[in-house]
Parts: sequence; structure tokens; C-alpha cells
Amino acid sequence: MENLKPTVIVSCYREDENMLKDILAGLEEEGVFYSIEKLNSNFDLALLARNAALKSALGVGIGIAFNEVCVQFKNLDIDKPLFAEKGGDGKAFRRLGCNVARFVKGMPLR
Amino acid sequence: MKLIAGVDIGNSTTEVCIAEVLEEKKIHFLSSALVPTTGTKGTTENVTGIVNALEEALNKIGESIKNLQEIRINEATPVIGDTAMETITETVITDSTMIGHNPSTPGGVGLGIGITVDIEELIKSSDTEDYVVVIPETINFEKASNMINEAFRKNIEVKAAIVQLDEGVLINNRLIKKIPIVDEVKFIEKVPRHVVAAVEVADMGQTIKTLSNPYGIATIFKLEAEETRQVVPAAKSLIGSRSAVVIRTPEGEVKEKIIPAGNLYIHSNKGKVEIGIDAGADEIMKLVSNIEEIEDIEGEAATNIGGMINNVKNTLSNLTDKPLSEIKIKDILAIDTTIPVKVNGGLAGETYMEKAVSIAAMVKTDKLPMLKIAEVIEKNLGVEVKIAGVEAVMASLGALTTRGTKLPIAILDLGGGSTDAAILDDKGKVCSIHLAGAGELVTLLINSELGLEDRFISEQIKRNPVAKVESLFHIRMENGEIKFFDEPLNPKFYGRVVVLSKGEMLPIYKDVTLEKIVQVRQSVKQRVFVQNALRALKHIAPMNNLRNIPNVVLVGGSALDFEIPELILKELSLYKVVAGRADIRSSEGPRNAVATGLVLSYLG
Repeated sequence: MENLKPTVIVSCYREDENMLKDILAGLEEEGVFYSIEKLNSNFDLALLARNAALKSALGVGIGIAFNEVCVQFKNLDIDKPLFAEKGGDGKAFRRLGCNVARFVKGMPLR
Repeated sequence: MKLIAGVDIGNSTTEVCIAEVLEEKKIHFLSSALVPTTGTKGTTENVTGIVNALEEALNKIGESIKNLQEIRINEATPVIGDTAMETITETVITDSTMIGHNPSTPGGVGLGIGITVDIEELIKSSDTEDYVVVIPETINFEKASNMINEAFRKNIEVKAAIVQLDEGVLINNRLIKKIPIVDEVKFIEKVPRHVVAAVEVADMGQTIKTLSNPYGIATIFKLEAEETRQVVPAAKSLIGSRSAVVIRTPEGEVKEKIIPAGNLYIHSNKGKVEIGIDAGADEIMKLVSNIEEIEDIEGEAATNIGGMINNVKNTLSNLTDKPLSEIKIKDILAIDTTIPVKVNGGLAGETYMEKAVSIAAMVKTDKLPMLKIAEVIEKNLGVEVKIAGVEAVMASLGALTTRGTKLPIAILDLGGGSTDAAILDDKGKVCSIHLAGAGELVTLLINSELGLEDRFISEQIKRNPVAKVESLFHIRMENGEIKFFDEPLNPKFYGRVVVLSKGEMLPIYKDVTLEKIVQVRQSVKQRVFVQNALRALKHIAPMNNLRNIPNVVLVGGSALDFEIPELILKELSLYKVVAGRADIRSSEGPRNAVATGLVLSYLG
């Protein structure tokens, strides 16, 4: 574990700016901290999210590439992401961020 | 081999018991079965269920109906119960005086008082007043925080904010000065502008102290004593919240109204007494207990209770082919309860737990047309049918097959529609009573007090323990035990309270804690069954003294419940009465008492 602060790690590759903003807003409103890393190289979205989850002290990683997002939890298999969505509107991304935060807090998902 | 069958047609289940009559006047029990009753108890529709039950029981021993010598059915007492609820209080917020929906993520901390102003107007405001800024959904958190910061730089005092979207934390995080913010205010357009408002947000894990205190509100709005009295309902409804807003509008207030919920009219040989439902359950039950024998009860026309009483009388009238005028309500059970109701005039869709009175009524008349059922059975099956005797006696005979019992024996039949008690003494004399209020009332109350609006899940909560899903791989049950899973649980269960029903997990989608569910479940069972157990036993006890009953045996569907028999046992032990769940023939538990008794009575 690289990061000792209790954060969700958000790994981005050519991310849709608005999507990222809304997901982060969802996390922030629920009071869960995050750290962002921007990557330049090729990727596999699930792997991107997986590596983020393994680095995160909370065990949760969000991978965003273009307008697709994948959320991985370190205790689940890579083929069982917590969330995986492609496209959508601001409300949906806000809700995704909110649900990732609620998962971290042990609360039921919206 | 002489095969006979005992058939007990109940409100919910039809139970059957098959036995062989041996030479020496001995009975040898062979099998039993239980099926749902088809149709209303006492109608020829029951025959389908009876045949189902007989076939099931006979298949178990490789026999068939044509080998039956005699079928004995009970002289069923037609008892039909029903329930209804009347809300008796109503909270109304007039002129948008307060916001009390308690959002989950308010912003900031503290008490902010100022004059309400639209965020668009803020920048034009003077720097000599304090303001509470109102932010509709058209202004997102980035824009809003920029606008407020701009105002701060111009020395405009913004003390708090009221926000339509769920963005309280997002806005506050970006402000140069931190302020308390209440968000998720759905009907933001109803917030009056240019009036004094107070916004309070408590620290995490705390509750507000000022706006839930009438004197706190009086201080902020400089109220006189009479005006302070008027704000008590507002303060009261904000107790326990983490955030709240109180707006002083000239006409506005929070009103607590008593809803006239109609009257009950109770007839006895001493005349007629009347009582309003809104007097509450305690007063109603006091009145009921003072009346030795109720002849009939009516409800006021055009009220929920009036409608329910009419319905239950009509059902029985149709059932027995007797005119409505001959159908009498013999007992009611009133229980105080609460029910969540959307507050009239609420700005954020607030619900408030209003007081309500739930009433169970029980209708009884002489005999059900069991002859009709007997005829149909004889015709269809070609087996002789006998109507064998009073239900209470049959139940007592069956109950006596429980080890450790002797005469005189009292039985408490905890059913779905009624709670019945009977005492059989050693001279063969029986005394019985039927009371309103049983399993169905318990389900109704669980449903209303938890605000579930789902009878199915309420029924499951009544019958089963609950657990909290703590991670994707484990749940913690209400007794603290942990259960692990090999495969990750479906995210729809995550973080939720679930009911463990028959190996399945049923999620509860309302925002209630596990502790609250357990508390309500046990409280409702106590208020209905323990109260009725005492009422019933006091009626039939020699000289109405419970201590004169040596032992009580619990039978019926609700006696199978995992908590109810223990609650009753605990209460009765205070009177030094031995009570426990029956174990009919040491094999059936509390089921099959009447059917067994019917078979036993064959020997005369």
C-alpha cells in the first residue's frame, strides 16, 4: 500500500472532464477523500481500476478512460467490479461517486 | 381397520388428523396434515381444502379416502376479525415556517441567523445586514460558492445557506468563511424571501440544541411568552435532528391538530356508551373492560373504523345467511400506535410520526352452517360425516395430549384473527371467550410503525430474525452472531438490514435501523398478545383470578412464533401460572389440537 491516507484512488486516462468532476463531487459531498493520478500510457480499464484499488488504503479504486468508468474493490475478483458504466449524464456520475463513498462508509447504495 | 379422521377448519389453515380405532376402545394416531383453508371459514368452499388435507395425511400412510369410516368436523365458532387504523393527529406547517427533513450531508457547523435572500440578489445586498442565502438547483456548487465568496469580499455578511440540491458539503468546502448549510430542500421556491431565518447544523454525531428548544427560538426571534408557546410544536419536531431551519414568518407556525376520528358506540345491557377514537387506546380499553358483556359495537358512519365494522359485519352476514341486524361485534382491541405521514406544508418532503389508534374488531354469531359443509363432503367423498362438538372442548381435549398437563386445563389459542381462551375443568365443564386482536393486527402494526407500506415484508419481519449486511462477505445477526458467505453478496444487500426468511435474505429498503426493527417487533407482540392473553385468561379464570388457573397451554399458529410464547410465559409467571407452548401428542407442537380432540371424542 503506497498511500496511507484513507483515500479512494482515481486513475484517469484521457478522461471526460465532466464525468470526472461529477464523480469527484459525489465522493466529496459524502465526505470521502480521494487522490487523483493521471496516466499517459495504454491501459485496460479494469486493470487500471484494479491497480488503483490495490494502492488505496480503503481498498477501492476508480478507473476512468474516455467516458467509461470501472470501480474495483480489492477483496473482489477483477471480473466482479463494484460498478462499471459507460456514458450517462451528470446525475448518473454524481450518483456513482456517491455510491462509491457510501460503499466505503458501509451504507446502503442509492 | 377402522380409520377415522378429525378435521379442523380454521380461518387460515385446515388441519387433519388420521387415526385407527382398535378393538379395546383404543385410538392409535397415524398421521396428520395442514393446508391453507380454501375460501372463508364456514362455507362450502372449504371442502377443497379439506379434501387436500385428507389426501395429504392419507398418502403419508399409504391409505385413501374411500377407506375412511368417519370424518369428524368441528362445530366451528364463526369468529371473524378485522383491523383498521385512524390517524388522530396531524402536523401542518403553515407558511413555510420550518424545514425539518434532516438531510444526511449538511454543510458546515453552527448557528446562522439572517434575512433570506436569493443568491442572484446577494451581490446587490447591503453590507449592514446579515443574510441567509437561498440557492435553487439552477446554480451549481461551483457557481454558488464563487458568488458567495464574491459577497464575502464585499463585506456582505452571509451567515448560512439553504440549498435545493444535495451540495451542502461541496459548497461549504469552497467558501473562504465556513457557514452552516441545510441542503436537499425540494420545494426551495416555497422558502419565503426577505424574512428572518435561523439555520443550525450540529457537529457530526451530534444533534441541534437551539432550534429544538422553544426558548432558543424565542431568543433568536425575540418572542413574547405567548408566541413562544406557539413555537413548541416546531421545536418538538426538530428534536434529534442534526440540522434544521426555522423561518419566522408573520402568519406562519407549525400546528398540531387533533383529527376528529369518529366515535365508537358500545351497546350493553346497561345501555349505550360512546367514545371518540381520538381519546386514545387506553381510554377506549378502560371503557371496554368496565362493560361486563358487550352486546354490540358500532362505528360512526364515514370514518375508517365505521367502514371496517360494517365490512366485518357484512362478511359474517353473508357467511351465515343471517340478516345484518343479527350480527354483533363482541369485542374490540384498541392499540395506540404511530404512523409516518407526509407533513402538510413541508418544504422538503418531511414525514412526521403521527399518533394513530388501531382497532381490531371481532364478530361472532351462533352457529356456522356446518351441516352444509357436511352434506357436500358426504356427497363428494361417500364417507359419513359427523359434526362432533364445541371447538373449545375439542381443543382442550387435544391440548391434554401434551405431556405434563392435567385437568383443569386452560388453553390460549393464538390465531391470526382472534385470540381465544378456554378452560376445561375436571367435571367436563368448559368456559370460553373470543377476543379481537391477534397475528394480523401484529403485522398491521409492524407495517405502520416502521413505515414500511409493505404487508408482505411486515409479515416476514414478524416471523423471522433480522440481520445487518456489514460487508460483501458477511452479515451480523440481531443476536450478534456473524454469518460468512463464500461468494460476494449482491450489492443490493450491501449495508442494508435484511430479514432471514427460509434461507433467503429479503432486503428492507426503508431507512430503519436493525435495533428499531427488533424493538418495534417485540413491542407490538407484547402490546397485542400479552395484553390479550391477560384479558382472555381473566375472563375465563375461576372468580376472574388468574392465580386460580393451574396451567395454560398455548396453541394455534401464533404459538409457533419465535418470541410470542416466551413473552406470554414471562408475563404469566408473575401470576405464578405455568404456561408453555403445547406439544400435541408429543409430536405436533402447538398445531392440530382441535383435530386431535375430534378424534379422541369418538370414544365418547
